[in-house]
Amino acid sequence: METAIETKQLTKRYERSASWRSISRYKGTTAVVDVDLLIEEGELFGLLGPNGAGKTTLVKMLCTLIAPSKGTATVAGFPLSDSGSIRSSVGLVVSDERSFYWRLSGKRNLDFFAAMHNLRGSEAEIRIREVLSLVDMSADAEKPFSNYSTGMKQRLAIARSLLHKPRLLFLDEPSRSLDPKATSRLHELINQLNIEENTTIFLITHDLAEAESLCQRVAVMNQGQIQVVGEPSSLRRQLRPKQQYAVKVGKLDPEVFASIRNILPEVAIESTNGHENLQFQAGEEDGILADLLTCLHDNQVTVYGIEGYPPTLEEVFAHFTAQERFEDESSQQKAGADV
Amino acid sequence: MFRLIWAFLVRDFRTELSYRLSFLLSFSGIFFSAFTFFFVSELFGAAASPYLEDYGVDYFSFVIIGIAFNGYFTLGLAGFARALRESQTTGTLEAMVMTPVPVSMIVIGSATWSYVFTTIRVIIYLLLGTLLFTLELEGANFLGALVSLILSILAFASIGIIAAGIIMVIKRGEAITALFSSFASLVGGIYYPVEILPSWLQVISALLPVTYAVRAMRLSLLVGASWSELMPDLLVLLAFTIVLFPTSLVVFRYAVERSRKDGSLTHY
Repeated sequence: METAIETKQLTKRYERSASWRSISRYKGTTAVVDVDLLIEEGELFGLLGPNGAGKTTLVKMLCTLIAPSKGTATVAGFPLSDSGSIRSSVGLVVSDERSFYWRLSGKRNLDFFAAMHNLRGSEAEIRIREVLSLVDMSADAEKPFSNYSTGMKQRLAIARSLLHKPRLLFLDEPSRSLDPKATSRLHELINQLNIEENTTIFLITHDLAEAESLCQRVAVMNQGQIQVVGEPSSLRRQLRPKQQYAVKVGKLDPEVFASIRNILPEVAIESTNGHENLQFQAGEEDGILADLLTCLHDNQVTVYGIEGYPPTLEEVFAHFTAQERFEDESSQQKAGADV
Repeated sequence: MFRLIWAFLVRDFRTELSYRLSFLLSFSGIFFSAFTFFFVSELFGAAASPYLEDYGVDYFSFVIIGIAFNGYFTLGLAGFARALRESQTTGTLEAMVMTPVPVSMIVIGSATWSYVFTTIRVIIYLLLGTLLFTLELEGANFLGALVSLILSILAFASIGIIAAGIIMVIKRGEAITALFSSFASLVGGIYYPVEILPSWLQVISALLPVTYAVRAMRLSLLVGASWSELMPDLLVLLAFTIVLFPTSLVVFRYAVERSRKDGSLTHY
C-alpha cells in the first residue's frame, strides 16, 4: 500500500520578528514540534487535540500554505517543495463559509474553482454535476451562495474540494456548526468517499464520538506534539486494559461484604435507597466478574443490574492532554515562584 | 493562461453585475467629471493656450486624456494590492491558493476585471469628449496610443505588484499607495502640463512613469504624433518596464515566501 502522508520531525516555529517589538517579552512560539506521522493511502485518519495544539498548523504545512521550520514531509508522494503537485492531489475543507463568493450561485462558484483546477468545457460541467450530486446539492446549485444554510455551505465546500478528484482530503472540523442530521449526512459522505473512492481522509476534529465512529486510526496532539497514535480500540485498551463495571445489588451482610472484598480488594461500594452499588474494574478474561456473581448467588443476594463501561476515547484524550496541562501549570507556578 | 484569466473576468463581472445599481452609478462619475472640466476649460478659455502649444488643443481636450488614462495609473498602483487584500478579507484567497495556480497569477487574475472596467470608462470618456464636447481625434495615431498604453500598463502594474508584495507582508498599505497616487496626480501632468511646475517639482515629475505615459497618449491622440516623435517617451516607459517588471516579480516572490514562512499568507 502506498503512503499518503509521511512526515519526519516536521516542526514549525514562529520566530520573534526583529523590530521595535523585540523589547517585549514575546519570544516566539513553537506550534508544531518534531511530528512523525505515517498515513497509508485509503486510510481514514483522525487528529484530535485541544485548541492551540497545532492541528491546523500541521495541516496547513502539509497543504503547503505554511512553510515548515524544520523536517520533511511527503504528501501524496510529493515533497513539500513541489507545492503545485501537492495542491493538484489534495483537497482542503475548512469551516470558513467566507471562502466563497456570496453574490454568485453555488454552481458559478464551482465553475470558477473548476477553472482554477484547469478543468475545461464539458469536462468541468460533468465534474461539477457529479460533485453536486455527491453532496446532494444539485437542486440548490443555482441559488445564491448567500441563501445557503450552514450545512449547505459546508457541503458545497466539500464539493469544491472534490472537483479535481483529490487522492487525499483534509477536513478541518467539518461538522462544527452542523446540526445532528447534517452531521450524520456528512459522516455518510465521508465514509462513502473513503470506501467507494478510496480517498485518504485526514480529519481534524474535537468531536471524540465522531473520531471513534469514523476513524481507523487517530492521533492525539497537544502543545505541538503527537502524544499517541493508534486505533481507537487499542488506545483505549492501552490506557485502561480493564473494563469499568457497576453492579447493583440488594443489601449486603457484613460477611458478604468481606467475601466480596476478598474477590475485589479495591471495590467501591455505595449505598443508595436500600441498594448497594458495587464499582470495580475487571478484565474480559480474568474471571473476576464470574467469581463475584457466583459469590452473590451463593449468598442469595439479588442482582438488580450489571453495567459495563469500556474505556472511552474521551479518557484517552483527557489523559494525553491533561497531563501536559498539569505539567505546564506546574512549570508556570514554578516560574512565578522563581520571579 | 487565457482560460484562467477569462475565469477571473467572468467571476468578477458576474459579481459586479449582481450589484446592479452600483454598477450603473459607477459610470455617472464620468459624466460629472467631464462636464466639470469642460466648464473649467470654458473659464480658462484662451488663457491656457500658451501652455498647451505642444498639443494645439483647448484645456478640455488636454485634461480629458489625462483623467481618462490616469485610471490605469491609479489601478496599476493600487489594483493588485486591493485585489489581494479583498481576497484575504473575504477568505477566498486560501481556497484559491489550494489550487495549482501560483499566487502571482491569482493576484493578476483578480485585478483583470478592474483593467477591463477602466478601459470601458476610458472609451466612454473619449466618446463623450468627441460627441458632446470639443475633443477631436481625427488624425490620431491610434497604434501609437495602443503601444503607449501597453507599456504604461506594464510599468504601472510593476509598481502595483511591488505594492501588493509589500502589503502581503505588512498587511495594510492603502495609505501609502493613496499618497503616492495623489502625489503622482500633482506632478504627473494629469491636470496641467508639467512645464508650469517649479523646476524642482519637474525633476520629480521626470522620475514618474505616469508623466511619460500621459504625454505619449496626448501626443498620439491629440497631435497624431509620428513614431519618431513618440520614441523618447516610449523608450523611457520601456526602460521603466525593463527595470521594474523583473524587480516586481522578485519582490512578490519574496513576499509570498516570507508570508508562507510566518504563516500569514491568508491573514489580513
